Amino acid sequence: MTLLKVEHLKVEFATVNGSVKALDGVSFTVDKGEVVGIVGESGSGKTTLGLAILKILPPNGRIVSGKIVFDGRNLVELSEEDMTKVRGKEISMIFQDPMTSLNPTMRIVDHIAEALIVHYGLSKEDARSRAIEALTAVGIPENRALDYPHQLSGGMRQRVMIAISYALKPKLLIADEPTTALDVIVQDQILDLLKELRNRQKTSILFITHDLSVVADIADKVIIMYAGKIMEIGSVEQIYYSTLHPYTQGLLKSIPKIGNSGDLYTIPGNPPDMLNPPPGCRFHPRCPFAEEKCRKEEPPLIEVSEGHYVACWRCVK
Amino acid sequence: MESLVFFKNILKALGKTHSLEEKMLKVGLVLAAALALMAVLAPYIAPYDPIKMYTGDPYTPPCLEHLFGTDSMGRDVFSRVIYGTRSALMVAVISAAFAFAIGIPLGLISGYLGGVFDRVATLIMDALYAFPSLVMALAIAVALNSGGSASVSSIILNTAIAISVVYIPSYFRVIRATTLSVKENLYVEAARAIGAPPLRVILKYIAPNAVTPAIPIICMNFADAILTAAGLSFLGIGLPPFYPDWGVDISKGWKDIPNGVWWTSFFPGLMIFIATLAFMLISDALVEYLNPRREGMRS
Amino acid sequence: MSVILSVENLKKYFPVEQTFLDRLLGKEKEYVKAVDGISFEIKRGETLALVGESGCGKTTTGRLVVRLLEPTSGKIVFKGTDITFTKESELRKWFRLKAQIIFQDPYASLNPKMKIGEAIEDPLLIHFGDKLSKKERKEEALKIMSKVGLIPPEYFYDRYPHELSGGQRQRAVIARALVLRPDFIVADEPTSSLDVSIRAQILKLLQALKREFKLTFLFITHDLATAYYIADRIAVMYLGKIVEIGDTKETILNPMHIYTKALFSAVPLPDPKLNRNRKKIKIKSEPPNPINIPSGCRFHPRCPFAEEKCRKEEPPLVKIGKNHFTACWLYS
Repeated sequence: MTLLKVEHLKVEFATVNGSVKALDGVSFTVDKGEVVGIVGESGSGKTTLGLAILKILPPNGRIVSGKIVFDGRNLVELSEEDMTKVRGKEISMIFQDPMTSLNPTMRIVDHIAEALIVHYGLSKEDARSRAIEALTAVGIPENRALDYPHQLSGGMRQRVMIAISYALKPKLLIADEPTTALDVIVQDQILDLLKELRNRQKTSILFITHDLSVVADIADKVIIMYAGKIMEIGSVEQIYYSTLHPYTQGLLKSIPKIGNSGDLYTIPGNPPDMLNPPPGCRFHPRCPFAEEKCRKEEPPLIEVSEGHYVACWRCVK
Repeated sequence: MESLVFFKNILKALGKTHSLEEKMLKVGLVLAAALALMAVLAPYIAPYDPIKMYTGDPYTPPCLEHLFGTDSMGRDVFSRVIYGTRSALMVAVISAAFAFAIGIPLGLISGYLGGVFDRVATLIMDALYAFPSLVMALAIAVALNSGGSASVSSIILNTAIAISVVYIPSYFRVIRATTLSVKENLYVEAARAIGAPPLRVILKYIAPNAVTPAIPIICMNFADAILTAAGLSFLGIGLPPFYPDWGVDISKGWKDIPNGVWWTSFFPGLMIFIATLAFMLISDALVEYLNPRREGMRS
Repeated sequence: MSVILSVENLKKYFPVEQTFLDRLLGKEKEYVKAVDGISFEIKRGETLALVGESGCGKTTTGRLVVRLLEPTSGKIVFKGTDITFTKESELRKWFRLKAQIIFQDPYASLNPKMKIGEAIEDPLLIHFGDKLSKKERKEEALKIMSKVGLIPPEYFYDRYPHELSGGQRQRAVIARALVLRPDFIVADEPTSSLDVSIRAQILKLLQALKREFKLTFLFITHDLATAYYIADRIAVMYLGKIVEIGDTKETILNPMHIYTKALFSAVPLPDPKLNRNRKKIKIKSEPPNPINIPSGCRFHPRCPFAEEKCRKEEPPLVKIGKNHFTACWLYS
């Protein structure tokens, strides 16, 4: 069942040096209870995507065109007032650095209780007890509920963010690099928590990251982004075992793997300048298979096998 | 070269967006430039010799021949006001230069060394800072000028020194704070790692980065110095009464206001206001422009 | 000599600032025991990887070994000379020419007000200012810039750090570290801040440079796969001590210490089926803070196999295989 459908979304940023097309026609779907990994490097537009769906772009960014259909409604057309009802309760977001999302003067239990009071109109006592329930569910013992954010470690703060989601029961959770700043063991615990959230509450998760290994661990479906466009979409097995796009292949071949002593492949060149992206296929300057057509025409995203889409001239011959 | 690039960037940024602070900066720059020109080209702009008495009848109200009227000795107020820019700007520039030359190196060294030196220096600076600026400047100015004989230029110099002592703590504090923060940057550690001796680390790695945030403060001190200088000359630090200076003119003219003679005080006062405003606008706008948060918007 | 760096029982304690009240009450001084007695050797031409989570002391170790920090106690011997407590002015005369460090954040480690060429030349200016002419210095800088892949070097020579991409900046940092032709380099997470597609470039560059300039590396990283790829030996740190050390392949594929096993099994693999099917050792809770170090084996509160002895006595590093050591009572 489709929960979120993004159609030809375009987002631009106005900067002193010109206009940056951060997202240039992005389309994909997220089903109920699905974990979709959005993978990309800097400039790919993956963070912008998360911000655009919640319509919390910075002041110099705006949605130029396209649709974001969530649970039957086009969020692009929704007023700011209506959006505030969606944020938190239906779609919530967690970021890389939870410290900036938490109010340093508020106890962690109150963060959750407040949200419950605002969105569900619960009484103070009910909200408090539900909040403690949520904290326990994410592994924070009750005796720490009255702590302030600075008293917690990074991992624990991230758990608090997940607890807020757990309590509010949103349909969609957007997680933007939630484990990038965390140690490996804590990361593992947080990923387990997210999986539990999906299993218990059927929350869909949009997991934004640059880490292909983390995505292989948690995602059902993977979207590979580059320079504001989608290069490949597929199930996690399709992406890792039947890789199509040269960029995806390059990425997978360039990460060191335990047990593999072979030489690393390197993708030549640098990520593109988003003020002047390359013409035709955005990846062509770095692609070992680039041909004339790739330099001139932008390849569309085409379904090559069930659920497996790719934007590459070579793959659709 | 770096500063040229810096100003070019400001102008480029000004050209593209038109927010409030950019408008403020434009107005401030225009006013400041006008004042500077006024000071330099005074002999060519002023219709009369500012010291010459009886260019018209005394206490003439503003009219076509005397745009700002005349004072008690028949001197043209408009010319006096234009020439007054000179002493105001000179005092501001000299005092800023002194305060800069002493406050900044002290702040750098204090921030870098820390320890006892830092504690003592900060204590002294905090004490100086706690003094009411006008009172302290007055005391120093009087002490320096008590030699009696002084020429106008030495009086201006002494006034500038007196005011600079007031502002040294400001520069010291700002630079010390920026030094403390710049000191923690990785490139300073990297400089130590390649074997740079402490002096080089301070001069090449810390100073260029610590001083930039001080630039708006310099502008603010400029504005304040103009105000303080006017205050000092109003209280009479020793400039001869015939000398064209805004503060001096107000000190002579304010007694005549109850008699309906408003122009001898109003116009010098207006100039003080405009000059102070100009540099405050620039400093405010620079603070916004140099705000690191704008990094994202500057692509 | 074959051993370029030898570290013996190295310790670094950071005093925790006491409030006035604490001092009034006569409270005992507390220390963050960042590094609490580690010993290892690095042979010439080797790359030793130092892995661990935040707070384990690996970054502090890196700083100690290039003497950007002064140890609290212990011994650091570099190329036969004891440099443990040598004065900075003395170190500047020779040590800084032989041992260098590359940091994690290439943007933060370059002076924003210095052009790239200037930054790379600075070490030459500092140490050979009187011996090399301006032209000679520039030539040297351009030469090393080509070697690290900043091509054309003349173009990059005049650029400022903010004009370069992350990968280019890191190349500049590497060039600056190499311009004095050091023997030993500490690389502190040199690829963690870079985009995925750039990391491989920098890793391969470091390997190529290692061969060409006959370098020895201490490679600090939290990424096991990177350690597997680049290091000859690997040391795992926990709360200021080395819990396991050995040849890379042997140690990573066959970990012995429970912490190491948990750490390695928590690392996600870029392979969905493997991730799903492998057995994981899960340990609970968060690492304790380095001010209150647990008694005995510092890992015992989280260890599923902890026994009485583990709570009382701290296990020494013992040999459990050819060139494989671990500190755990289960093995001694």
